[in-house]
Amino acid sequence: MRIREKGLVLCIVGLLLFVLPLILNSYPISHVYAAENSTSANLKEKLSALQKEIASKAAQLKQEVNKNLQNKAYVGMVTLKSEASLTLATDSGAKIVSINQDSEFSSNNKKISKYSLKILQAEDFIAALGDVDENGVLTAKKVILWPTPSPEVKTHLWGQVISIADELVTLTTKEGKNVTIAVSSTDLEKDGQAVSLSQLSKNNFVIVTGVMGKNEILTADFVYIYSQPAFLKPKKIATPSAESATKSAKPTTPSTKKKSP
Amino acid sequence: MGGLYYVLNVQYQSSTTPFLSGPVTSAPKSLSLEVTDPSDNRLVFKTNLLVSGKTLPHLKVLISTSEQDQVVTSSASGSFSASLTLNEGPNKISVTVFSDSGEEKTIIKNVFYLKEQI
Repeated sequence: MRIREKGLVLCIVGLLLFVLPLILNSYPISHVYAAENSTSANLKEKLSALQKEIASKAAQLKQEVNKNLQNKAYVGMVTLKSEASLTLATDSGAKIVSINQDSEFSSNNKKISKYSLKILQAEDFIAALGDVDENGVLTAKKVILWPTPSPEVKTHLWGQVISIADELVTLTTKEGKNVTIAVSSTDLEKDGQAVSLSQLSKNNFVIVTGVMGKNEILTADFVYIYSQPAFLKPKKIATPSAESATKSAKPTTPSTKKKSP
Repeated sequence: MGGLYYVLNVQYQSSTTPFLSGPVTSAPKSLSLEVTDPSDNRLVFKTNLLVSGKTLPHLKVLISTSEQDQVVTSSASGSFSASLTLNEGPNKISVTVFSDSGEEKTIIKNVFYLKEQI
């Protein structure tokens, strides 16, 4: 081969050796770099969206929690008093009320016109109004002396009507117990409408509220009447003769027959 | 052909041990009751209060105070609500759900109504 031709070949080879790798490397790199770039951009977007969602839900939760902590009332009897706090016995247990210089005192009790922390004493029935902290301590904005309520005597029961006699209705309850209710001055309701006693029938189901008297008759304030397919089945109780017959019966063991091979 | 044989005779073969994973019936749901509104020991400044909650579907729910009684039926999703008129001062709201067999569950919420906002 002539020198000129050799040189040309060497040039071409060199060019190929130099340029080709560049071409081969740059294309996949840029492709991969572009792919990586788009992947990381997607991830960043998703992360950002997730952060916003978390922040929004956290704000919602905080609002809910605040809603549940603000504007609360602890009502009960004072069991303990100090300069800065009270302990009340409420229906939901002992509650602590924090008192500060902004706490206002007033009285809804006709016997006491003016009320203050100095006058307040144990066994006073009060309503402490304010906001509650995460420990359940209420910071009182207002403390009101309230008349002690009379004990709750209202009760309710569910049952099926088994008899109606004038203004006395007998029901059988879920436990199979018979209860008599007096419906003289009672609100009766059926299908959302006020009805009279004539609308009450045997086998109706009722929900009753009222006060149980000492004579075990419930004076009903409210009777809700409805029908449903299922009937309460009375408990099956064996008669004495059936019980004695059962006792005298001798148990028999079943005979086992061996199969012949 | 082998593939066809597999598809027809192996893949879609019916189980010879049915109910291996258990019975087809589901266990009865126990009576549940949740009162979402109002929260306990709430202080309100309006006389009307909406009581709402959730239980099982199509059950009777008794909502009572010392002076009022209402019975509502829970919806197909189990939700229920009723509007009450409060007395000034403490109000004890009793919410009771009854199942068809008379089983019951009660939740009590205390709400204090004050005419003037503090």
